[in-house]
Amino acid sequence: MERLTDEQLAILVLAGDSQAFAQIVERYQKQIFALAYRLGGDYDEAKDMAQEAFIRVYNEMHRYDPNRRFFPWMYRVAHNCCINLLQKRPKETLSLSEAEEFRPSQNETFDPEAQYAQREFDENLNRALQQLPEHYRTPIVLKYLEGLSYQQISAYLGISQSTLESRLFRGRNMLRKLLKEDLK
Amino acid sequence: MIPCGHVERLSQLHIDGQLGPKQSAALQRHLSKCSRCAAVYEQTAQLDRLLSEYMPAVEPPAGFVDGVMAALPANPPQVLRPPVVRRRLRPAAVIAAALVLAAGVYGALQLPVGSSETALLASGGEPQPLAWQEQAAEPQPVFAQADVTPEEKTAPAPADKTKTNTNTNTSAAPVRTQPEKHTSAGSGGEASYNGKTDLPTVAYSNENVGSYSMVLLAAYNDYDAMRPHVQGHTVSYYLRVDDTLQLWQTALHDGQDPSFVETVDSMPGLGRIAGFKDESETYGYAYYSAAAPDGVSRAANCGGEAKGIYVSSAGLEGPGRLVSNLGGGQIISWGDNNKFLFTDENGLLHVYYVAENQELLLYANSVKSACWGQDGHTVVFSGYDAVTGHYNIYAASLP
Repeated sequence: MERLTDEQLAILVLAGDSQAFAQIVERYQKQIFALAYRLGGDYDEAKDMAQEAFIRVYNEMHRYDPNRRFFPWMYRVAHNCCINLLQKRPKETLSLSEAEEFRPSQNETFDPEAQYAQREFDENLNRALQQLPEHYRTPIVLKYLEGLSYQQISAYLGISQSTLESRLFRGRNMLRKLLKEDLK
Repeated sequence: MIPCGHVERLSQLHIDGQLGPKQSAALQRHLSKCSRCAAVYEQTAQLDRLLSEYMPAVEPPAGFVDGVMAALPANPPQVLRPPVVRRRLRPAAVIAAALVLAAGVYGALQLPVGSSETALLASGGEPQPLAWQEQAAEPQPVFAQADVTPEEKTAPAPADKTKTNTNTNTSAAPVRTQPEKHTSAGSGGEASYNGKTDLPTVAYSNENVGSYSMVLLAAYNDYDAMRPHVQGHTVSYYLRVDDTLQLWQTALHDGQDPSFVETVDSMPGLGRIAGFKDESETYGYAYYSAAAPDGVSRAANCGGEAKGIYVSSAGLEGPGRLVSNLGGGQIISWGDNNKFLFTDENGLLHVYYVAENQELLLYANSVKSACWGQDGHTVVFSGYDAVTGHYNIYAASLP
């Protein structure tokens, strides 16, 4: 069976086909979940936020213009929904160490020295990322943390693929220089 | 044979799976013969692995799709309502909410850890003066307009009304405007539009620049009012309703309700900014410059390592002088020989006064498009409304 495009699925949803929406959720659950996780920093909260975001997308479908690309529109609605939910939650700060608890373990065996080295590198990488100009950092975060493709990132940011390539190139190049010692 | 200078870029594309088979094969051939480039490739691949590990993919729990589908409302998405003009004036609330939202915009794409302030300000090096590339200034158009398409900006999340606070400030951008007086609008509250010809305004002052007033010309609960342009005292703008594009008009000064003009096929091309030049592709980051009407002064809005606003008053060939760090935006256009508009990297609208060396934050939230009125003092723009989540049309009268 031919795979329907996002835009075709959206038209079906607008015509009342809720199963078409299930396909949209299936297709983008990872990206929206990663978005919620990145913004909230908590796995359980990300589950609720991502669900809420998809419900918002569904409720906002009547605003979608089928002549435009679906993904950037959906991603923006989901992003706004997550931000809105975060603004309403009690203010809590999430420290780096707390955030790390939710990261999948790369190594089941306990090795304090390796863990220390890993933590040190993580801190250096985080510091280096924060030093990047926003328009270099954002594509990197969207690519690695949220797992978006080149096409999705360029559509979402409203930039051409060649501009995106250039930004990813320059951003990673800057990172490589900033992390010179760690990458030896 | 691929030149060594291209290897780093091609390596990254190869690692990202963006290189075709022919180029990949050519790259592999080069790497097998050039140990220096092979080391560059390995370092690039190492960084890619480390980034992937540092930002591991998070998987939604099993049954997530079923959970979403079970939680959907029973009714299918609603049919669009016809547009309802929501004409109201609450500039103080708008500004305050916008200030609150600026922090949201600012933090929206930050990682959940680390210092966001450092991140915003970091530019990777000292800003460098830039030499002007362009030779001649074009004549000043009737109005100068620039536009950013909706895809180019991330609309910030609607603010919680209860968070509106006129004393709120933010580190997202230097806010030099402070509420000074209100004529009709209550402090921080909403003032209903009375339909009279004298629009209530709220004035803001800056000790070195003077004051300006701002009015809300048109707002809708469910639609974005887009791409305003001014001819005489008439402001035209567009609404996308259902699958139609509608042209609406309102008066700049007399307080009439907006009126529907016609359905149109498309929005007109972007207005031309005098002496405007986009050299972003050349520099690899945002780089917009524009000549003042006198053809001597120039301003540039730059991103990247040289992020900032640069002004040159020493002729077209002279180097630019850094006047503000708020670069990386999208538009720049001169109202007269002394002031120009620009947006920063968060889409907030600013005006810079050359003689006074003052920069004024005009609207502390995302602005989609802006243009000067014919008098060179009025700025009309489509600005994000934190309460409705849509863009309204505002007019600011500058000194």
